[in-house]
Amino acid sequence: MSGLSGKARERLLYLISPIALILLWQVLLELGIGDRRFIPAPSDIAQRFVKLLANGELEWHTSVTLYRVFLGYIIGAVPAVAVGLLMAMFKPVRIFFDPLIAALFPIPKIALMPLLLLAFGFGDASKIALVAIAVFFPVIVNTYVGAANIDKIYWDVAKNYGASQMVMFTRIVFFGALPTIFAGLRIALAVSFIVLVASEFVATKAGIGYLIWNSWELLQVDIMFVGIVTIGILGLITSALFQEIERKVIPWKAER
Amino acid sequence: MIVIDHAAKTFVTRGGDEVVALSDISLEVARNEFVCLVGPSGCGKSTLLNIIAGLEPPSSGTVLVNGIVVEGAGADRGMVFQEAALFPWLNVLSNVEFPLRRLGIARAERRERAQHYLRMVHLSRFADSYVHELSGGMRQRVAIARALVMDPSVLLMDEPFAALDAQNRVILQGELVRLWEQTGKTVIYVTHSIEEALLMGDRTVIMTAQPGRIKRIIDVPFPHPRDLLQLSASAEFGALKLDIWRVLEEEVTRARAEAEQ
Repeated sequence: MSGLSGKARERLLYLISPIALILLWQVLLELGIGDRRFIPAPSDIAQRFVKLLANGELEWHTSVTLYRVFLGYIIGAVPAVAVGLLMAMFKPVRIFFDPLIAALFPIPKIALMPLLLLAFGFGDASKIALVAIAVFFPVIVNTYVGAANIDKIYWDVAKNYGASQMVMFTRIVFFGALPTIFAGLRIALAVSFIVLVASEFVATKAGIGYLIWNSWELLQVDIMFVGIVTIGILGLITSALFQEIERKVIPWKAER
Repeated sequence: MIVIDHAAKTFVTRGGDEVVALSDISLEVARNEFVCLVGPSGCGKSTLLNIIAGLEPPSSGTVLVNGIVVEGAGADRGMVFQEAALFPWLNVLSNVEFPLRRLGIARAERRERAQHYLRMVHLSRFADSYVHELSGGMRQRVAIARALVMDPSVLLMDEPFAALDAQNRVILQGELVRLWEQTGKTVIYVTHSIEEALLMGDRTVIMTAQPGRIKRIIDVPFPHPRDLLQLSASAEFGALKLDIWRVLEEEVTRARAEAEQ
């Protein structure tokens, strides 16, 4: 490995643990330890994965899931950032929202699904609403904490240079909170996949969650695993994308 | 001109006790004067500066800047904070531009004025850099450019070079004095270093702690323009410094004795 740069070596190390796990899994099943009908080998899952890709089924379910996550995420995150910042800037806003957040945050969002089905019906809207609600809380809390913890000196400086409320909001509070906002957005990303897949178990005919639940009912365990792996891959890709965005948007964060 | 008229500041601690940070401060600072406030920590010199800046109100008394009572921050006073306090999320140019935002100046002119002051502190090459890419001395120079960009008549500085290493401090002291000689601002400079005060200022106001009071005002006799290095090595400078240290020594001993009671 001496010919590799530090970055490449890090990337290689990054892959060792998942590859080792998959190899171990395959070897154990090949050795006859475990029942292949209930626990398919990685090679079985891979085959099924390719098949489902070839007939377009997997793409379809993935696109439905991504569409719901994306819309719900935006609808939940944007107001959460705005309100979180306002909470940090204006005490009345904080006093108004604090008890609401304290009471509603701990409710498992999936418990709201029946209610949302009543309100929004069986279409995409109920799932999107669920994601939005689930995303809202971690983002608003992180935004508020980030904005409230901006060093006092920056408020003083802004005040000293006569910053208007608008400039305060867009130049100081927003940017100052941005690193913490991003931490909240990343948590929210994981949360949105978690609640969406769970919600897709019921009352829908499309989405990765549906794929998983349906294959369980038909005892097609390999398809179930394809669904699970797909979610993992989606998580990996979106999180990597997120890191790139973060690097672009927060260039002042010193290189790690 | 700045007139501080019987200004006082009292804080109430969490326990409900009153702490007198500043007690009955009266001081006049002439236009174009470079005045240094010196004193031990806790003597209220930073509080006094904040009151002049309009960041905190006095508990009693008034401060007039150019004939107008200070009731908040104003474009006529530029402040340089101890730790530079530049916004890490803005690049150097945007940091310097920041004070111009409220004046409704067009972007192009904002940039041009910011560039002008960056040149003045020899940092025009770093306009696009972020703060974490600059050394401590460079950061303070940016902070000075930011304070100057509105062309304020008064420059307020709160121990701006205290966190720098000795070499950088000497360089920046020289630059600041030169800037002041060129621009003719009124400067109020807070420091805990007597040497720094005597080296740079026209007058040195020595304050004492608990309650914060003006102990003595010293007219610094050295003419401008000054060569700070040469001045610091001269016999007159050493004699003056020794003289003032004697006054302060007595004060520190007294404060310590009181604190132990």
